[in-house]
Amino acid sequence: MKQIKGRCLIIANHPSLIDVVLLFAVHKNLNCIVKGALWDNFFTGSVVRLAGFIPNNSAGVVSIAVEKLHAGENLLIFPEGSRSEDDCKFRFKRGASNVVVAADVAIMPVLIKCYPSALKKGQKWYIIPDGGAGFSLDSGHLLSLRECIDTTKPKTLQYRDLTQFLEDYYEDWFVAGSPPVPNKNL
Amino acid sequence: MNEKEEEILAKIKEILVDLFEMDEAIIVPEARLHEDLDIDSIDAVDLLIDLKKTIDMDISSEKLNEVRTIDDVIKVCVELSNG
Repeated sequence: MKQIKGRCLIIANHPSLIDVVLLFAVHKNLNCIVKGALWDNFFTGSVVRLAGFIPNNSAGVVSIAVEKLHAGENLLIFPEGSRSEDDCKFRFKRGASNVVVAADVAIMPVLIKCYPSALKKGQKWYIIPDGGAGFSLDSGHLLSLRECIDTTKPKTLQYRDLTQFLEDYYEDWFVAGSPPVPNKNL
Repeated sequence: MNEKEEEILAKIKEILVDLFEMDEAIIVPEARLHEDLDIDSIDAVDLLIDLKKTIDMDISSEKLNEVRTIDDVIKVCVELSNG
């Protein structure tokens, strides 16, 4: 993940509250699509504005994202849309695929693991396991759109195919422990 | 449903099968775009661009934000079409 130069969409699963902090620690040139509600929050509003992040409830969020990517930024999206309920099941929303197909940029998948689990959805943030929690961040292969799906299909089908591809990619990765190598013959 | 509406429904069916590999049987007037057919706002734009190729209509109208079902789409198309 450290090697990416820009014009790249980073996707990651979202097991904990501090995933964003971890990812920004690894890479400085990152933009992020963030829950729109944070704009209206007294504490977080000025932070997300200053950082130039993109609220997910604004009209034309996909075209804004495409613009930023083409201008050389990297963009982070958590395609699960919210923190994961279950570590090994990946259910992605289509937004990340919408952006990749529209911008035709490469995807850098990142798998975050947290053990023992802490700061998860449904858990209290102040309940931390004895001895603290450990995090691991693992980068996959930089994927071009053509390696993932058939790009001759209508865009609407590409969104769906890519979302499915990425869910399968993450499930294989989680089970096998190492990132799957994409099938170049596609 | 009058002849014009039937015509638009047939066109919508054709596009949905092409764009979303949808089963034609589930495309009925009362089907809800989001809940029943899994069409989001970005898909809707692609659908409208395709519709515009055969039905001459203004696809920038605010009225399109209100549509929820296939029937709504048909009604709006009839209203906005110029032919």
